[in-house]
Amino acid sequence: MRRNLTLTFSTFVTALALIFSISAPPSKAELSEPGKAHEVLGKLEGSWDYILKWWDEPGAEAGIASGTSEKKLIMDGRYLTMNHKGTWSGEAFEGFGIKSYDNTKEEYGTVWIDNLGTGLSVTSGSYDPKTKELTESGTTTLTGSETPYRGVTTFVDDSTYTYEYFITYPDGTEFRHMVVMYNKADDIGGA
Amino acid sequence: MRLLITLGVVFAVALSYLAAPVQASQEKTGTQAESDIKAVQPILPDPQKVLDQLVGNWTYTAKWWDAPQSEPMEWDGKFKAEWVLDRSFVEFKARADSNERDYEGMGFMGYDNVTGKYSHIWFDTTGTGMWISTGRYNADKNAITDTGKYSNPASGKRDWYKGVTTFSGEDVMSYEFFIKGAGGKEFRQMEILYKRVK
Repeated sequence: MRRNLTLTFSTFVTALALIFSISAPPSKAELSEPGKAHEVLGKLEGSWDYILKWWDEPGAEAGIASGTSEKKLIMDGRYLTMNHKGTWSGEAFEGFGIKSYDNTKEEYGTVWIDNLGTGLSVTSGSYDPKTKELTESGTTTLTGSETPYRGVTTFVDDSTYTYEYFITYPDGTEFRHMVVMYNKADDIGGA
Repeated sequence: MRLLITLGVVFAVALSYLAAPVQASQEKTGTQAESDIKAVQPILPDPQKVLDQLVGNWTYTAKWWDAPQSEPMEWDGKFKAEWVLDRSFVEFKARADSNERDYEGMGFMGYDNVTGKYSHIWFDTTGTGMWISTGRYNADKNAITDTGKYSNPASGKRDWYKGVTTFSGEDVMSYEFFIKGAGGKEFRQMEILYKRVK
C-alpha cells in the first residue's frame, strides 16, 4: 500500500514537472545561451573557397567571381562570423556577415555588409532538416533601393554547400540574381 | 537667423523652379550647376567625419539600472573601433575588464547612402539575437540617435530601444540606452562613458 502511494506520488510529481516544462516559458538563462538550433551555424564553420555567378536581369549573361570565406563561431557558439575576400568585376571584394539563431524569435538571422555599398542586408528565417535548407528573407539596400530578397543556403554534404539569392521585383515576381558554390578549402596544415 | 536661412533656401528653391525652362535650353557650366545645387541643399556634415569620431582605442565605465530607482550595476572595459570594408563601416569590439563579468560584444556602425540614415548593429554574450537600429545625426548635439527592436531575454519579447551616442570632445564620448518602462515611459537603462586611450 505504502509502495503504491509512493509510486503514485512520484508519478504525480513527474507529470507535474512534465506539464511545467511544456507550459513554462524559457528562462532568461535559456534565452541567453546557445542551444541545439545553433548547431546548424556550426555546419558552416571553417575555411571555404567559393565561385559565384550573378545575373543583372533575367536572360542576361552571367558574371563570375571567386574568393575565400572564413567562417568562425564566436562568443561560445552564439554567432557565426563570415569574412569574405575575393574579386568582383575585377575589383577587390570584401564582405562581412553575421549569422545567429535568436532564441526569442526562434529564427535564424543574417546581417551582411560589404565594400560594394554602404547599406545593410538583413534577413531572418528557418532551417528545414529534411531538405537541409536554411531559408531567410528580408531587405537590402545594396541594390540601390530598399529591395526585398530571399536567401537559401543548401547543405549538400560536409564539404559543399550553396547559397542562392533571389530578388523580389515590385510586381512580386522573383529573380535568382546570384548563386554561390562553396567548397571546403584543403586543410594543408592537417595531420 | 535660422528663419533667414530658411527663407533664403525657400527663395533659392523657388528661383531654381522659375529658371528651369531656361536651364533646359542652356548648357550650364559645371561651376554654375554646382553652386545652384549647394544653394538649395542643406549643409550636412560628412558622415565619414561623424563616424571618424568613434575610431580609436577606448576604456569605458558602464552603469546598468534594472529599474528606474535601483542601484546601478557597474563595470569597466575596453572598446576598440576601426574602419573596415574600405571605410564603409566602423567595426566595434568590446570586452569587460571585470573578472566577475565575462562580457564580450561586437558591432558595426555606418551611414547608408540609400536611406540617408546611420545604421548600427550589435551582438554580444548577453543574448543570442542581434540589435539592429537606424537613426540620424544631430549636429547641434554632436550625437547619433538610433532606434530599433531587440530580443530581450528578460522579457522574452522583442522590445523597443533607443541608443544615443554623444561625442563630448575628441577624447570623450558616451552611449545611452533607453527602453520603454511602465506606461510606455522612456527609461535610461544603461550609460557607458568612454575615454580615449592615448
